[in-house]
Amino acid sequence: MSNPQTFQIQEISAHPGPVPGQGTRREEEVCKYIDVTTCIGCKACEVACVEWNDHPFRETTFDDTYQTMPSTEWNYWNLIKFAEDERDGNLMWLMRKDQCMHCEDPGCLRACPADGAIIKYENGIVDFQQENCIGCGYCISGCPFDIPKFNEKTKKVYKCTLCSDRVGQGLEPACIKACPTGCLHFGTKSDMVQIAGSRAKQLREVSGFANAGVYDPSSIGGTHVIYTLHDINTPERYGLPRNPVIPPSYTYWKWLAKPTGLLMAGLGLLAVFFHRVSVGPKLPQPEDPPVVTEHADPVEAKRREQP
Amino acid sequence: MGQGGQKPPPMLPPNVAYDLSLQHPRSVFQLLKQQYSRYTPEMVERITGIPKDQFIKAADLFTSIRKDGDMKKAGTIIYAVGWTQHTSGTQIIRTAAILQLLLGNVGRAGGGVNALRGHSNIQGATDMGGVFDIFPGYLKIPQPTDTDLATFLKRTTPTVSKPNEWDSYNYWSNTPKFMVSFLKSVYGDSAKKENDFNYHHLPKIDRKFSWTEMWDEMYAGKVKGLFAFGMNGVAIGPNSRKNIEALKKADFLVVCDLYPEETAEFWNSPGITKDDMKKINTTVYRLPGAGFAEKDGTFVNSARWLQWKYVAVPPPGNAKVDQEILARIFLKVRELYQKEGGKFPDPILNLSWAYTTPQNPSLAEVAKEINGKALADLTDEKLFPGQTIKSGQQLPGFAWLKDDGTTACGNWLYSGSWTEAGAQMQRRGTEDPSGLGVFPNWGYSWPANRRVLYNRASCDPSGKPWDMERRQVWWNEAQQKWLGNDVPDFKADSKPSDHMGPFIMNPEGVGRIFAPLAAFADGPFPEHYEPVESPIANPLHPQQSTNPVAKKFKSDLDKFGTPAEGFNVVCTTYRLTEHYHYWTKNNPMNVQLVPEPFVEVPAQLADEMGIHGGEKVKVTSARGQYIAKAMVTKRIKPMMIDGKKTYQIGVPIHWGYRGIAEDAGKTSLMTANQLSPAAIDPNAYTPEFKGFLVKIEKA
Repeated sequence: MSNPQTFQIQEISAHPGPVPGQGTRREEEVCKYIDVTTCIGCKACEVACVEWNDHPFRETTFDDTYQTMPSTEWNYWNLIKFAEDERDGNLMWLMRKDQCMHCEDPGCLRACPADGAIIKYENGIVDFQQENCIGCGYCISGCPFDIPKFNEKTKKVYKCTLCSDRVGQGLEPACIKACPTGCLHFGTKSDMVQIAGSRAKQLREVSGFANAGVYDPSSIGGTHVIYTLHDINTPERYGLPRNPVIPPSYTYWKWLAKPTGLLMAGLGLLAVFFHRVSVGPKLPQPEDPPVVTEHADPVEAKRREQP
Repeated sequence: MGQGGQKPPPMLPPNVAYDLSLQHPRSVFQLLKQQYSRYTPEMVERITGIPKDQFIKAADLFTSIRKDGDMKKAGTIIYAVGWTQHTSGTQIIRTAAILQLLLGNVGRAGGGVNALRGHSNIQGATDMGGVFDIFPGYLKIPQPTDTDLATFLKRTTPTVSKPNEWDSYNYWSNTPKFMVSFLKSVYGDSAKKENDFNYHHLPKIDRKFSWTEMWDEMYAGKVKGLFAFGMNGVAIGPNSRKNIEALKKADFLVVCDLYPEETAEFWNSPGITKDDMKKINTTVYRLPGAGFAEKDGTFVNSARWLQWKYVAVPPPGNAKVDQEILARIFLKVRELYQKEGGKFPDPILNLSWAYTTPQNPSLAEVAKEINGKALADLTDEKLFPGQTIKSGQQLPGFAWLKDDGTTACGNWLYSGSWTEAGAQMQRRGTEDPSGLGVFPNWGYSWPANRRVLYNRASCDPSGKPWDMERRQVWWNEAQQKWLGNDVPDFKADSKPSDHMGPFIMNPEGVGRIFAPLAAFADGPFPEHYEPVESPIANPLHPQQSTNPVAKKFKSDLDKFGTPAEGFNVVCTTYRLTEHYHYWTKNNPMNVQLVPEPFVEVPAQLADEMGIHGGEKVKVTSARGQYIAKAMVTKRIKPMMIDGKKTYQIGVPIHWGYRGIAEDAGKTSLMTANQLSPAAIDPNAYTPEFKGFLVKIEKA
């Protein structure tokens, strides 16, 4: 969540009027490039993310893996996903840094019904503005990468900002700064695509990974976080969807679902009006039973269970 | 390596034979071939479990850099210190060195044998004599037979040994200059020629005082007290239980650390009852130390760069920086000697302590002292015509050191790191004029800001670089001297036709494929030995399966297990990237990343045992027991060792009985090193953490 004034806004969720900067394209389209083949899974990026964003610690438990927790959380935006992948008798211990992909066509933004809760800047960063978030959670189901997470306490949704606050000051994201192996890179999209491509070529030609390639899925217009994978034909081995898509209901939201919804709502109001006029007011009824609230956050719930 | 108490070895002969055709049956090359003719790929498979074809593939790949006589490529060997944690660890490193010498990978940019050391400043600690048998700059420690300085210098200064028609630099011939300057630095004005520069103040060691030997002597009641500064000896082990028992017998223990830790609280370790505690008479003192970000000074990395760092935050509360704690202890001890005398007060009373703030010397002052200074006006018409170093000035480098008491230098290798031009170790220049990654103005690389050691070997005998495109140094015929993108590691004006060897620290000038004069306790060539606890007898020589000169301790707590007794699973211990030894268990951030201890169990073994990930297992060695949750993994496979299916398990070492998870009652409160044996390599004295025997069962 950064000051929207730092960047040129290009798209705003559920915004009725003109969007300042819409359609602009400059060379400063940013990108994070992750070379999974040189990641050692040290989790320095996880720590840097928690520290920079001042996130409270999460209590974790041993779960038969080196992975810190099962998935990203509202206060844990950067997670190395570990997989023991065995094929033809050869074992590979895969480690992929998981975080928001900052899609060119962001499913979260498409899905969001709250004006100004999700912003996409012209540099490609997709940023949540929590003060405008209504906590509906549509962005969660709109994301093809399972990234945005709901905070039960604040009733808002959170995710990686690509350190828009740092990037706005000319700095690299915190995870990039912390990486000890240099497997994390940050720069313009065109530069990153080029570096990633030459690394993939090297993996194909020198290191014996015939199918090495760059993950920058075109099905969502490309992403502002891209990977070099040992095998581009099987991204699911790394927990990445082969063809990420935004649910069609959200894609058509703006031109079909939303007007239809508004029409239906209008009709509903009319129906209520006519019902009131023709039938009369509601009479007192017996009281409803109290609503039981569940802890949606499993880690939080687990923590509370402990003595 | 030190041979404390033994008769000094003879010097090498001044004149040696050689055979450039490598055909003479007693030439090193033929002896080497003979020694390793037994190590066939089949034998490698039997001993290591690496399938023959995979071994050949790896060997072919590594040696392919010299295919068809190509001398341009360079290959490197990078190892983590696990290689050293065997009872023949030094020989494993020597094997790597021999391979690199044979391939011509030494002295080359991108070559060498590179240790990824386990601590940020372990190189600096070793350089500064943080080992019992060396002084700063790898000067040897005197033995009781070294009755005066001349005798000591005669024993420790090597003489030239070479073919008559060759030249040899034999750089250690300068040992007297380094040693006398060191004595001047330690004892100041009281060190005079007449009193052998106070050589007689130095301790003479009659036996070994390595890590495990210290604990063994404490357990035997001979060592009465211990100062443990940032060194959690109980958790580090090996054989933690023995170390705890040893501390019970000590009179005192001083621990300087950041957190409550296992050594300071040995008296409260698991299994000790309130009644037991009453019987422990050890007085424990705890001193509040400062963390690395709370002090300045240097880190020296394994590429030998001295890099200065600054204080990020002041130490909290009553915590003090190390030098203040040590200085205040020293000043108090000196005061007691002054008032009350003692058996031998001179070494304490004569110690030079000329710091601006004696009770808290600044590390900048100490760094300048280590660099060294002139004690009289110095000139050297041969090496530095027309130059004068004024008395009191910082020395520009170790080439100025004298053996007559006119120079003082705390560590000759660091001379040049803080000169009249300022703190070279604080430089942060990022320019790399040659494009080779030399970065000559970043920090200071000892010796003489040289980035690659033995770089003369990057040229052919005529002084022409093996790889002209990445040339490091070269002979300039017009100027009659060696020039370079790096500082030449050679006598600057030695003509290639003089045949001076590039390995200038050896009196023979060549690399030591064959190590003469019992330089290593276990022989001139490396030989494979099984760990002291092994599932098999050594297929090379079953009658002498283990290293005959490895040290195994003999106390009642030094037990060793055999497969016949049911210890048939190989165990190794290691660290995780998420934790740093035993102190990050006090940091919520690290605890969040890996919250509790575990044992890595091969999936096949887990299936056979009927256990699932997250269930508790009990690991037992002849020395102790460790209970933690199992992490079932496909990454550790069973191996076929000498025809036997052999399992290995892995135990990360980071937990104990004090820490966030420990204090919350969430771990087994045991140290992983209760399992490991006190058996040590005879050269470097490193314990065998990387291979010992255990049983594993459901807990």
